[in-house]
Amino acid sequence: MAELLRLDGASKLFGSLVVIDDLSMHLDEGEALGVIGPNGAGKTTLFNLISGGLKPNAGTVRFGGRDITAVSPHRRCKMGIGRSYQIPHPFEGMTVFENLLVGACFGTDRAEKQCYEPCAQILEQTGLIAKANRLAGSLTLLERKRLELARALASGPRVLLLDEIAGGLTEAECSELVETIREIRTTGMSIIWIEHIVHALVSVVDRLMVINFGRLIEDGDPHAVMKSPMVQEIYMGISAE
Amino acid sequence: MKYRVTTATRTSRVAGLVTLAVLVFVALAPQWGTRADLRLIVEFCYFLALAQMWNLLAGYAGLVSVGQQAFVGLGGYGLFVFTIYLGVSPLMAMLLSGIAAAIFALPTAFVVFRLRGAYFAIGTWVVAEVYRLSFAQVSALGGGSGKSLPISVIRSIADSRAEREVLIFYVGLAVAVFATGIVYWILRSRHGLALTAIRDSEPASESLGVNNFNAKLVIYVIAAAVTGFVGALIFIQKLRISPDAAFALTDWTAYVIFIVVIGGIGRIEGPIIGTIVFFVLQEFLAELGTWYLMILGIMAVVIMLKAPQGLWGLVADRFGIQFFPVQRRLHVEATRDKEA
Repeated sequence: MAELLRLDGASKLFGSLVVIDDLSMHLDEGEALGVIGPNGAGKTTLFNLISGGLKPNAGTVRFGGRDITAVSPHRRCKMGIGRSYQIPHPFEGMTVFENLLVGACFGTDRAEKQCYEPCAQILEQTGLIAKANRLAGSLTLLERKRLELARALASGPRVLLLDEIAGGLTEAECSELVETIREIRTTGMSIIWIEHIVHALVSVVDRLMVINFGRLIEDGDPHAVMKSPMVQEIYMGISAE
Repeated sequence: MKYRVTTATRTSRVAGLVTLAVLVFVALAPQWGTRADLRLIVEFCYFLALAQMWNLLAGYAGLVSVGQQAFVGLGGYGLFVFTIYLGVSPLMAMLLSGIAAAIFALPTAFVVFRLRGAYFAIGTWVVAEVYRLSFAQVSALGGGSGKSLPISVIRSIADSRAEREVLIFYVGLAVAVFATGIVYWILRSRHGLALTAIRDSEPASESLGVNNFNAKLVIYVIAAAVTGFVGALIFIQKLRISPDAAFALTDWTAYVIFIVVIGGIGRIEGPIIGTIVFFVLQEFLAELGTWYLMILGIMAVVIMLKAPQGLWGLVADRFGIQFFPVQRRLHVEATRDKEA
């Protein structure tokens, strides 16, 4: 499979605090990669480096064979990096449908009229069609999470970055959302998914990465990674002894 | 499944007709009104145009400028420079003043766009002060004490005073309609989607492919052009300009902010309602002098605390009406209508 995304020796410092420490990783076209790690491990910062919200202090980010380290976030979106935020950032004064239109119009550089049909289809796919004309500010948490996902999809991504999209949901809501993500996966969409709800994650992803203190700890088959003593100790808080 | 997207609502169609009727009535003012009426309507028009532009900046692009008097002043002085020194006809000079203000907006943006939030606001103010102090140094334009428009230029507007007043009246009406129209047109366009998105969340709009910087810059330049044109209009009516009058923070920005906040920020109807309220208050309270300003201030504070969506917001949210609909509504035409 062709390589889609690669980070080489990426580091990010906030003042003297090292958040991402010489981290290298890659993602193949069509692959689903899960990312886990304790709070403050640097997972969201990793997403910001990929989506362009933050620039690394060292190292490079490559996407589709191009060095995009210096490329701005909106250009990266047009290139095919779509992201959802951990804390939903809906455009509250716009309708759900208009929220998607923003992604579709600007993420794919199409005229507005050409975006209507694809946006309506994504609303169907993500179970939001009945809420299409509701203001995004009036949505429930599950709907806001779905909107994050739908809006990122509307921007026509080649890779979808999902940041704790199932966080804060009930068990039932979580499995509903996992079902939607699984459907999206059937279209061959590449994803990187940060999640604390490990069983949801492991049921979808092809590969699992563990980071701690901004460093890559483990990387490989999800089930093998979860069983590794280092993960049990660091992530699950179970002593290796 | 079939999808259809609409923006108009029944109230908006009725509102369109009402707006047209009011416009026709106002446009006939030279027939039914006194000179004082015409003058008042022109003032109403330029405050409405300034308010529409400030609302576009602050209410949509998130650019809370307290330095729009910079462009009023540049436009006003533009009128004097183009007519007196370059011999341009007054109407053409007004257009050129708008363009000149837009050109000045680019280097201004280069400075102030580096600043965020409150610092942006202060930065725009400082830049406006720099313009004011700079114009006070130009002796050809009367320095600090200002300059009057020469009789020859005044005559070139139109021969008689009555004709001049009617001409200025129609220019005023046109700029108010244009300012409202351009805001409406922008918001209904693709660019309007980006702006509304920026208003609600800058990080999200950027990560959905919106070039926030460019979207804001375009709005800043458009607002400067219209504001500059209005500046030329203000001083062709006043016939005299000075740095303090041209770059007046209170007149061209503080009142305008009051209008937008009272009426409803981030809505096209807001500036219209706000300007009406402002003129009604002025009519009844202007004799009170300083107290009038205090009452305006107290009203603005109360509205900001109790009804941050403004007077129009209170009405619109309760009854769900939009006179200028910009919302795109999706209709699903299938075996059953699933629209919420």
